[in-house]
Amino acid sequence: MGCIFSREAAEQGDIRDTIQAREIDKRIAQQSTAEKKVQKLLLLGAGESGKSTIFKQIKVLFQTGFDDSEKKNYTGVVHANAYQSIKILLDGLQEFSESEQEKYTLLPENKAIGEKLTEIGNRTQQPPLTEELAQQIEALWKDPAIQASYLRANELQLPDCASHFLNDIHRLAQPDYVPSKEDVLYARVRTMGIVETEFSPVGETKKRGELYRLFDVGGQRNERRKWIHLFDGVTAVIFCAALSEYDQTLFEDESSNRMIETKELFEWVLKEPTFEKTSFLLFLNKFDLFEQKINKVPLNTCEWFKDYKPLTSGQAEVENAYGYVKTKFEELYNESTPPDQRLDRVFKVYKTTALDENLIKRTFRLVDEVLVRQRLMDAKML
Amino acid sequence: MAMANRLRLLLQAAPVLSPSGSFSSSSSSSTACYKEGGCISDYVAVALTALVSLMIFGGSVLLVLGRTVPEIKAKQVPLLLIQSIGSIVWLTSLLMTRNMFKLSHRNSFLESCYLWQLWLEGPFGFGLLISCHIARAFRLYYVFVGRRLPPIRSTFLVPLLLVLWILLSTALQAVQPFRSINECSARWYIWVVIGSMHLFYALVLILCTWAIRNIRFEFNEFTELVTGVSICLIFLVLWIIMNIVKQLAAGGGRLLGVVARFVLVFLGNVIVSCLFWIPVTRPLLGHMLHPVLGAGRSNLNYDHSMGEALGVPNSGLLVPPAAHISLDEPLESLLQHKRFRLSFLSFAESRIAGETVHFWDEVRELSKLSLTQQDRRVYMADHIIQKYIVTGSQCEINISAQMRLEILSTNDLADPNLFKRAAEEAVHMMQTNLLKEYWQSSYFQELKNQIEIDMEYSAQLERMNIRDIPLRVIRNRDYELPTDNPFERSQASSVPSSGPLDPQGVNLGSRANGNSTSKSLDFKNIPPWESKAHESQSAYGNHLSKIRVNMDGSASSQSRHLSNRNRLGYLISQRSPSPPHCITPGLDSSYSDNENNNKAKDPNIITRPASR
Repeated sequence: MGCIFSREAAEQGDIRDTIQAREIDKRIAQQSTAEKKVQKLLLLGAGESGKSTIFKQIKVLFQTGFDDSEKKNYTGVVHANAYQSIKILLDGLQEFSESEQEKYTLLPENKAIGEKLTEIGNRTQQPPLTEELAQQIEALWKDPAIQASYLRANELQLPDCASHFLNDIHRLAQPDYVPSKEDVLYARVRTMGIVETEFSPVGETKKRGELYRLFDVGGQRNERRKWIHLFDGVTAVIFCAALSEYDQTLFEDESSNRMIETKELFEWVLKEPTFEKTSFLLFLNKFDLFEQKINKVPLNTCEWFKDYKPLTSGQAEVENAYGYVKTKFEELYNESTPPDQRLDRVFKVYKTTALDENLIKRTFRLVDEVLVRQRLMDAKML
Repeated sequence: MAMANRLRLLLQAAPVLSPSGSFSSSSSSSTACYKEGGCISDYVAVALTALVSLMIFGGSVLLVLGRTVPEIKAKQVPLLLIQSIGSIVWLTSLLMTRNMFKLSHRNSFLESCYLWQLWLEGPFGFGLLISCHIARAFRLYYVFVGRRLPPIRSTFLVPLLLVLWILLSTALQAVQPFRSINECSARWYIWVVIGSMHLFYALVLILCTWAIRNIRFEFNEFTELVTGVSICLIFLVLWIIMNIVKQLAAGGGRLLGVVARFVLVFLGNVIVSCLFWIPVTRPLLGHMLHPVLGAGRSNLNYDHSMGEALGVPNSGLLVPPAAHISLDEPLESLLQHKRFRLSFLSFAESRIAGETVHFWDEVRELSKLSLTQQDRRVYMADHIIQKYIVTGSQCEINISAQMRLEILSTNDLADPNLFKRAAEEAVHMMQTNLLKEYWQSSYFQELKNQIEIDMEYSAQLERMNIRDIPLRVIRNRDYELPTDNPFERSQASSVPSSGPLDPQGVNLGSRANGNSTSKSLDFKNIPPWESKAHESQSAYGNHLSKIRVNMDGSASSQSRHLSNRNRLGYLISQRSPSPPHCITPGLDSSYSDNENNNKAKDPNIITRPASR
């Protein structure tokens, strides 16, 4: 039988074997990549809690970031934010001047500008921000009445980016203005519906990590009805709560306090049956604004925090207050989770400022670790 | 439960019937029949009541099933349901209070006259019935005459209206007017009091109906109210006459008594049936028969919108688009084009943000109603408010508390600028949230493909001088027009897939050129896949109109045109706009599942069905 196999045939046989082996290797590799499940992450939270900012940060940190054309797309939004902010402050003047006339009246030279900008703010198609308009806005922003109105911004629905944009209005009005990365992160757009993206947090060793699918949602009450579509098979919920909102009211219901709303929302989400085994990562967001606010507005103005007693002042006070809020949320978590479930699911609290890139990068690294660990634990248990 | 009781009592009462059958012979048997019930007429009355009650119950079920249809919704389904409950209670109480049944347990609470006459016949029977009508008239008055939203919801108004009667009943209960607990006889003035209460409520209803006499109602609410009122009045008058006659003939008129109570129950059934069925017959029939009649047409008329029901021009019709869609128009003008709007709507719904587009669309339909048609504007505005603005509504949109309050506290529901700011906010939200991703979505790709195929076919027709081809042939994408030119044929069949769009948004217009004054797609700087349509582009509109006219050999009426279009499987793969279902909690379709299905085509993304 040996002479039937010529050398060529033998070589062909070898080649065949090699090809087969290669096939098998490929199939094994495919299988192991198929084993990696895409992890589903949800960004939940009340309105204006920082979810979309985190979403943008993911793009900056783990995806391609914002290139120039995408940044240019935000010019309209930035300008709209500026117009909106000054308009809201002007409207606030109307409201406040009913009780205290002199304090909330514009200087005579600014009255005409005030009317003009209120009218502009009401339009849908707003004029491009020219140097002239920027000067007028600046004049208004510096007006003592507007500044007084700004001090009572918690009673208005002023976006948090107002001071950032209004302080810098001339830069925004440059003809060749392209929003910086910071501007893009500050830009406020009320999210509607559901947005998703996929990313993979690149680990320390630059090895591609887990694949995450991240969903961003709207936070207002009518948007929450849409969340139900996302509740299946969630790996982790990133719940964003803005620390600085304890003295503000809801956009969609000016009789409700935002912190109380967040509390109730968090409770509701925790009790959701599909989240029995879902990890909860609480991002206590807007820490920078919290720092500034805590020494001016006591924490116990919020009903939920009414048994808080400030001990000191300054930075120590900030940490103290933060610790208190964190404890309150942890208590809330424990109240809303039956004891046997507390072992099953992970709950971690993170202090974040969504605008701070490095902080978010570090936070996400921690998040990634937590989730990987959880996944391994689940796998072992299986 | 009540039925079972009744049947049981009937069977017990049966032996009372004398062998002679008729109740005119011996006084004793007729006395027994009169006193204890069991006459033939009583059986008939009970059967009639049972039948009417069942029909009302069935009607209520149908109403609940069809509550989203505009004509039915205009009748205020919750009020109708309360009314049907009131009707059934009232009919039962009419039976029970007339001594039609032999009462087995003398002091049973359930058969007490107080319960039936004072409470169930009064406030919770007739009172409930009339109060529903009063509440309906009240709401119509507020909305159409006052042009404002009523301060109280109608369903909350009904208990309020009943307070008066409940007070009276409590007072009477205290006084204990009935001679014995099971015999519903009392002094004549008690009956006068009760009767005048009935009359009083009927008068209130007359008053409310009179207040809205001048409005022309789209869904015939006024005529129905008037009919209801007149029937009520007739009944009351007859009831009074009956009672008087009964009192006068109290001595020997046993027969009269039996006849009287039968007539009473009969009248009661008639009035209840009329009050219930007159308002709802037409809309229910229309709603139920449409699946049968409309098998030829598609679902368009079955699930129609309020705009269509009010006759908004071109509402729901898929008219051919304006030939020119310039894609660098602002969003608001792009949305005026039906095909773009549909495509954008589908995209928005895939992102679960459809309610804003629907809201904008319905506000647009409202603006098409002329200012002289005040009543229709009020209907439409009310519908939009109930659907999109009220907190917790079916398709609530994302607007600030201030804006919501402004709309809800308006003094003029027919104001053309009522929704102006909200609509502008809606456009703003669509622009910032959806527009950029729409340009890069498959929905936009499909729209472009559809438009260009459309243009291609008409271009081919033009080249072949074909004018008379029926629309079906043209629209059927599988049909290949015979051409001698193989190059053209291959061109026609291969629709090149467009590459990734310019991420800056669509610059298909000649924005770079800077001087495009025409509204149409400027073909100087367009991408290559657009250039084929160049020659035919200007003639496209003309062609379409020509084709349309020649389709049936005569100028087609809009409805026929519509049905033909529907039958032909329209150009756009999305169907004609069905009313938005929006978000109801507990929806089965999981967003992630849909997305998984879409993503499954992408080999780079490995998904597994989520299982945890």
